[in-house]
Amino acid sequence: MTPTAFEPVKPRVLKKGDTVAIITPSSPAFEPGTLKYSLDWLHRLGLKYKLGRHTFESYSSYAGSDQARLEDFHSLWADPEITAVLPLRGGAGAPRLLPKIDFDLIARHPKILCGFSDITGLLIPIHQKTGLVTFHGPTLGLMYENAYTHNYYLKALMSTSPIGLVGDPVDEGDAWGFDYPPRIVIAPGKGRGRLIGGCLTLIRGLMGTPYEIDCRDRIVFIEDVDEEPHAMDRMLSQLVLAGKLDQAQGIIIGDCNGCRPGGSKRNVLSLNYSLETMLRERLGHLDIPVVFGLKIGHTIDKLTLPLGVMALLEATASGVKFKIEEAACVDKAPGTKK
Amino acid sequence: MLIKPRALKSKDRVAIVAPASRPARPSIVARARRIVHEMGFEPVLGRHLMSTHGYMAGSDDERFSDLSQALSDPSIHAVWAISGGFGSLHLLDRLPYESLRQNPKIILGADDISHILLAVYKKAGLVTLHAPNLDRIDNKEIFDRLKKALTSTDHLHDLVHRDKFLDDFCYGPVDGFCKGKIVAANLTALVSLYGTPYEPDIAGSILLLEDRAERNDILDRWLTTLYISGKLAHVAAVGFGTFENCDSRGAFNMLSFEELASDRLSSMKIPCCFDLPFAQSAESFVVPIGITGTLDTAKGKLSFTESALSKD
Repeated sequence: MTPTAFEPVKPRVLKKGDTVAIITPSSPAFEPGTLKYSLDWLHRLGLKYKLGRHTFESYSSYAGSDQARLEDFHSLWADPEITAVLPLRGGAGAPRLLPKIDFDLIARHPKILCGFSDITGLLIPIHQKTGLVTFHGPTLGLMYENAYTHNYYLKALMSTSPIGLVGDPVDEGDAWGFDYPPRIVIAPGKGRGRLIGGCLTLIRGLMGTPYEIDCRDRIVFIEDVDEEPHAMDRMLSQLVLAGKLDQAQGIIIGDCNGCRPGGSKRNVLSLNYSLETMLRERLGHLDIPVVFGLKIGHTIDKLTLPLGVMALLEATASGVKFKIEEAACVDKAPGTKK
Repeated sequence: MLIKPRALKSKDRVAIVAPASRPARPSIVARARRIVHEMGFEPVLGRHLMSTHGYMAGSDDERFSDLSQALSDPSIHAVWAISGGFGSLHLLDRLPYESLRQNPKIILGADDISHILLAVYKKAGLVTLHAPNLDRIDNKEIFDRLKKALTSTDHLHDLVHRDKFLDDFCYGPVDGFCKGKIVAANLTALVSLYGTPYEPDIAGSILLLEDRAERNDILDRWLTTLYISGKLAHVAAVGFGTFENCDSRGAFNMLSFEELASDRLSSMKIPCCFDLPFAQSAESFVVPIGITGTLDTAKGKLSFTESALSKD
């Protein structure tokens, strides 16, 4: 698949007055009460909602049985009144649904799907199986976390213009605060391709399955949370061994909150070997641009990145340019995909 | 064509290597050397056992030079990992698979070494041994068992679930008696090979899985990978080893891995049982990867129907 040969299916833009679906394909809401904040924000955006029947069910750490979560997903996806399907949160459990997901149903009713973390387990498979542009951005419960996150969310979901040049969050807070430099060049270069990516734990979990990530000619973004550098190394090494990263046009490693030595509270193998060092050793030799530190996924500042649209990544000694060149949404609902 | 390495004889040379992380203390190296010596073999120490590079026992090149030298040197008859951790994955693309096919030898270890065992089995067709790393050997019983496993061409000892109190107690949610080739793996390591050229074929196999220090839902994630790949449906049976220090991390509403795994396998009607004496600890039995065996999940008993090693 060359970037020119692949034409993504774009969902209709989310507009004031639309109805969105709230579902929990992974874990349940942290606290039922916090749903009210999300509903208030939907109201503020002029959006109505329908809530999945099983939103507050529970099976182990999942929001109800696979059957229950599938039922909500399918019934709301098929609902013609729904413009966007917005998982309330990630957690765990979405990949368990994949063998029973009705991809034909999704292709027949293209619409917005936005989330991150465990939702990566839906974003990549759905994008690859149907061609639909899916959105790696905040889950519903996090879309109003701060101005940066919210603005990029609106730019991606509620506009038919390309997101354009991606900026960094402006530090409005305490001048004494320590922020890791947001854009570190691991390998210089310039690449252009359609976006794909998500949470590394999920990307790794799809390897060797029919939903395995296809990185060919793509700008690939990868992020995770609370995984030690050696755990990140393990998952990236898997992608390297599978020949995935060689095929990409560029790689963006996200902020990766808590992915520092000692950050996982699980298995600490090193206290003095940073994620950056690991990335330089594993990815520094690639002939494509590799950058580290953009605000993706598990950080309070969160971009919304549409899977399947063209983007440019340029990394030089003087800086990193990341531009999303193509709009993700269209004005009118696309016709049925043959 | 499956290749079996030759059983060890007295005075054979055994290389001690650290392809992943380094052993925790120098005394472990001295002790490992002594253990190999006491077994009647000549220990040959890797040059970089105590090196450090991040979380690994030296740079990739240093670890590779120790490991590839041990694997390629015809005077070395077995290669035994001293410790696990992380780092084996970096070396897989460069291992001397062809030379191992020509000059097969015993390779044993566990934890991160599972990557190497599975890769060598896949790429060289050589039987490898899932067995405790040298730093985990701490009692006479395991010492004797390992010595016998390395020197004998008899069928290896059965693995039987043994309850300390109840005789013949075994928790097997799906009963069955199955025969197949044995694929033994650390679950995290097995999934790390998925989608790579080193992913083992598990169709028709008796799949033996173990892991250590992981949360139940993370283990379920990796079992889910096997499930959604469509490959789990084709295994003959699954035997779970001991999952040392794996739990819900205090979350009472999180199901045990036993429940998550048996829900999954019951719905797929795949015979399975839990708590086989197979993992990374000293109590772990030797499990050869690639040979044929039978698993009786009602009794919790794994038997081998052929030897793991050849006479010459």
